[in-house]
Amino acid sequence: MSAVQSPQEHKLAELIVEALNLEDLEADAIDVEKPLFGHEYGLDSIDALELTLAISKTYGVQLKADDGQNLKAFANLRALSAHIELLQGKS
Amino acid sequence: MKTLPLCYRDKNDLLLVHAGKPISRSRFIGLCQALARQLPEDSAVINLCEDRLAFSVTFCATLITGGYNLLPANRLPASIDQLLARHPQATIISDRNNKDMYASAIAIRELLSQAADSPDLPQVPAQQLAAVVYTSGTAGPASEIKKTWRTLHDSSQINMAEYGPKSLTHGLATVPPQHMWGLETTVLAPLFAPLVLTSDQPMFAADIIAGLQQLAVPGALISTPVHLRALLHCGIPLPRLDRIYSATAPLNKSIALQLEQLTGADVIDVYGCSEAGCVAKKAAAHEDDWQLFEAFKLNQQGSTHYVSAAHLPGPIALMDMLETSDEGRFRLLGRQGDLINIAGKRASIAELTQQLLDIPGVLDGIIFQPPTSIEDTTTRLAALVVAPRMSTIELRQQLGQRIDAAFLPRPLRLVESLPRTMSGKLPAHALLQLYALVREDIC
Repeated sequence: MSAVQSPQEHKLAELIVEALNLEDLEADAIDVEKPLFGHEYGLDSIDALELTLAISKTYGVQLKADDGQNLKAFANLRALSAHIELLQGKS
Repeated sequence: MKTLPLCYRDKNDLLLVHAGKPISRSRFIGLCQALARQLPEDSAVINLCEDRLAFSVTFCATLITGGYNLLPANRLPASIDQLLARHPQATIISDRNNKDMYASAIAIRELLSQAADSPDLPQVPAQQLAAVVYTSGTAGPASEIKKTWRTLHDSSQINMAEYGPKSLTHGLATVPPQHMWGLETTVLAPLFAPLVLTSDQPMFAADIIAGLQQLAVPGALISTPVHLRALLHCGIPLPRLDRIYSATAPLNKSIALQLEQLTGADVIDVYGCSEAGCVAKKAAAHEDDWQLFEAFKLNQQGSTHYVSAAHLPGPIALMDMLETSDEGRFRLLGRQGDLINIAGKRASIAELTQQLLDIPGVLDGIIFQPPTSIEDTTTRLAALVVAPRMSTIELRQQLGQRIDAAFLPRPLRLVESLPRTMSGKLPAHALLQLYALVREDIC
């Protein structure tokens, strides 16, 4: 593991595991810097859709990909957690 | 030689809106001809474009050369390699910068900003092979579904007569252009009916709704049950719409009814398969029975139903078990055998399990569909694997290189052995018992 999860990141990791039924994966085992989507955790675009729903319910923020290129927020757990905090700060 | 038009729109009619810019028929044909000039005659093209305009231009340019499109179900390198082995003369066209992977890839982006308009209306030979569609969700040997231009042309006319807009309508789609549902509704439909499609393919609920809000009136959404459920539950108000189309899996009736109440749209569910295209429809909020399109006939042999139509090469067996009633009405009872269909991609349990067993270090294992009790949750497969020297993370990585993400089993659980009988068979009840046991362990 390259970096330790912050409390916010851990909470988000738990939401990811729960929302996407990743029962065989411990929330702690999600590397904050590894890509969430693609081969590492086997998550696809349908998971991304499910995850945005769970995040909107838990955090009250709406994630957008905008023009389809701006997917940096989904790069890894750390980026996603930071992006959610940013959106919460704005509202 | 009988030919059929590539398009039935007038030259100033809009087909697409790409990055905010309207694309008229003459602009579109100009782009297709410009790309066709760069391709050899009778080109076989592996069309990997993701942007809808790039995909459509590549699709039609290939037809203009006298050639055909190869449409893989996924972009796994192993799948593309297999396609190239079968069609060694094929050109890869991609709108992504993946030249590292495929040295022959033609970059289409520059071309889209350069070509001049053309008033021409190309004709395509009716019997010309136009597309070869692959539906497999694994890197294993894929079955090919061949479509002549006559089949795609007639299907499009039938589809638009059955469910297409009668007056100018502006569409947004959440489905990719490669699969049959996306191909028929987002690539071919604008060539045959007064439909202007947005090139964007928004992914998340908030993006889809923002896209719908920007759509000119009357608006249509072309989607799937997974996306439509997310739209309902995301908490953002939906704009007024004229039509919502759904396919790839049956849409839940109460979801359809809520969508209808919130948007005022007619919610139309469409049933079909890659071999036959769209074959039936229903008003999802009000009807339980599907209505077979007029151009099709339904026949039964044993427990299998077949559809046939003049534009198809022969009768086509349906993957679903049907209960038929009068005048082409029917209900779906479930899938035949071990076939699985997720997000418009198909795989068989046997094929997926074989991919698992091919991984070095895997001694035994099975991928299967666990029983689900909740309607409308996303279908996921499960796996029980005997691989004493491997971790689930290693296994998942290995599988990810062989199986489309939609089919990756979850949960994937390591076990000491599988409850096989003396003859080596794996009884379903014993498998589910073990599965229940290992699930309890972690709950």
